[in-house]
Amino acid sequence: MMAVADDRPRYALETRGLTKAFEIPILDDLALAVRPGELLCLLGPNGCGKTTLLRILAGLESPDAGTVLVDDAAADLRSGRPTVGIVFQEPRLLPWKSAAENVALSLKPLGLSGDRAARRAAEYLDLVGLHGFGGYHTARLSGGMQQRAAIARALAVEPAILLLDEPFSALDPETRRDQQDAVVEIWRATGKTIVFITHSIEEALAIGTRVALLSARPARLLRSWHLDASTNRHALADEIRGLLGEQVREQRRLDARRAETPA
Amino acid sequence: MATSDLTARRPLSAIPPIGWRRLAERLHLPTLLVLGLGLVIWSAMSDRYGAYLFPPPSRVLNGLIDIATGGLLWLHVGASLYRIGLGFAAAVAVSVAAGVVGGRLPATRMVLRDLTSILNSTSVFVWIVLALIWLGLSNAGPIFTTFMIVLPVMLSNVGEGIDNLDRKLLEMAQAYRLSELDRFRHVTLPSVIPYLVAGMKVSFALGLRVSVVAELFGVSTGIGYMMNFSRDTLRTDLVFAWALVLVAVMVVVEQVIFEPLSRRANAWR
Repeated sequence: MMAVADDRPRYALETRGLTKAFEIPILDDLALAVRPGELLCLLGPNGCGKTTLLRILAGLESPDAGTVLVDDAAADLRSGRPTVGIVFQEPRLLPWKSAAENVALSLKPLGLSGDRAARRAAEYLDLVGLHGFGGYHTARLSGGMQQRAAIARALAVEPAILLLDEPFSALDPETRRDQQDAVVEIWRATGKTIVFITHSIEEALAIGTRVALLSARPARLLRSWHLDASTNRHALADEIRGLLGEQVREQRRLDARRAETPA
Repeated sequence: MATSDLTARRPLSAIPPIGWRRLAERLHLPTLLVLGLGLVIWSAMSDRYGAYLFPPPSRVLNGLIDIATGGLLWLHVGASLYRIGLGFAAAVAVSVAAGVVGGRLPATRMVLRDLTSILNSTSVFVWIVLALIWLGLSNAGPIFTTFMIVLPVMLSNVGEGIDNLDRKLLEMAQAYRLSELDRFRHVTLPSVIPYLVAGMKVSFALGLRVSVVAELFGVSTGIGYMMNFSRDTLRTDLVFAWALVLVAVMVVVEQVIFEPLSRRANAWR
């Protein structure tokens, strides 16, 4: 399998000079590079621009400047098949459809329908541990299962990158741990490049192969840490907590100043 | 008296087992009891004031049988339903179209909302009189009146449906590159349909009540016309009989069309 690794692109996802402003700069010259097969956890204070980054990557928003490269080639995120499979904070499943129908619907733009879409949907529902639940209406599924169905939907479009935006923040701690394990399992099984946005340092350290810290607005990449079995996670958690704390305070100052001077 | 036995306080042990109470509720026994009492009072009034003011229940029943067996029932119920159906369908179609426009151009929503309030506060009688002026003595009068009365109810329900659309679901659909048509079919429409059906249920009943009033003028068929005709010919028993027909039509349409429709629209909830 080493030969395959050599053919791999340098970066699965790379942003160069990504800039976006809504009255104030949200992203300013953001450079972020994700290696193929990485499970990168992005940490940053609330309001630092993570959501804007996600919306750009999902093709919901255009950057003012900068480029996004997928597999080392400039990517058109606004049209064509989704390059990024996105899992939102909420499951965002259509409640009038079954889990399988929800997954199958996302395949329609890829030209897959009928039996082929149903087979693909079933395959990915199995992968996320929802075997046998495809026919369930989404309201009948627990919060954790709904979020897994959303992950199945994101994987089913077979995107270059899987992007999860604080997907488990609404779940209770017990379920949350199960879901984290599930993500790691899915990552192992598929070798997918995953970007996981979270505000929990513990979560980031528990699942990531790398943790990256974003600054207060406008978001810059402050630092990142590779994780492996030898990493002292307690010490690292303390270090990150200190750095993140600074950025959170800085972000609060920015927000307070902005509240004082209306645009 | 038997009724005082029922209302008297009884020791707990004397309360019949749950099965009885449930059966009584199922059959609406208390309601039937009140209706029976009403029938008794009505008969008394009929004896006291005469058949012109209060025709005895037996005469009304006979009238009802005459209407049903004489072929008049289907002719006039059909005529009323035809007019209501047309006005109602047109109003539903216009509100759906307005909803599509309103969904795409938020600026039009304020206009629609304001128009809806104006229409809502306009008396039925205004539309009836205007229909007489504009459309003369014709079928078009009740159709137009139904349309104008149903329209604001439907508009406000469709508007509410659009206001309650989950933007996050639409955003998801966009992120997954669903075409605009598919977003409409799979996200917008299923969200709005429960509001649409609820509006149809309310506005059809309203339309039925209103259009029979419009049938007093200019047409020679329909339940409203027959009620007025019966009054003209001093057949108060038939006025009551047609009134009962009207109630029956309302109940049947509700149970046969709108109840199942509403169950289907809300099945996923």
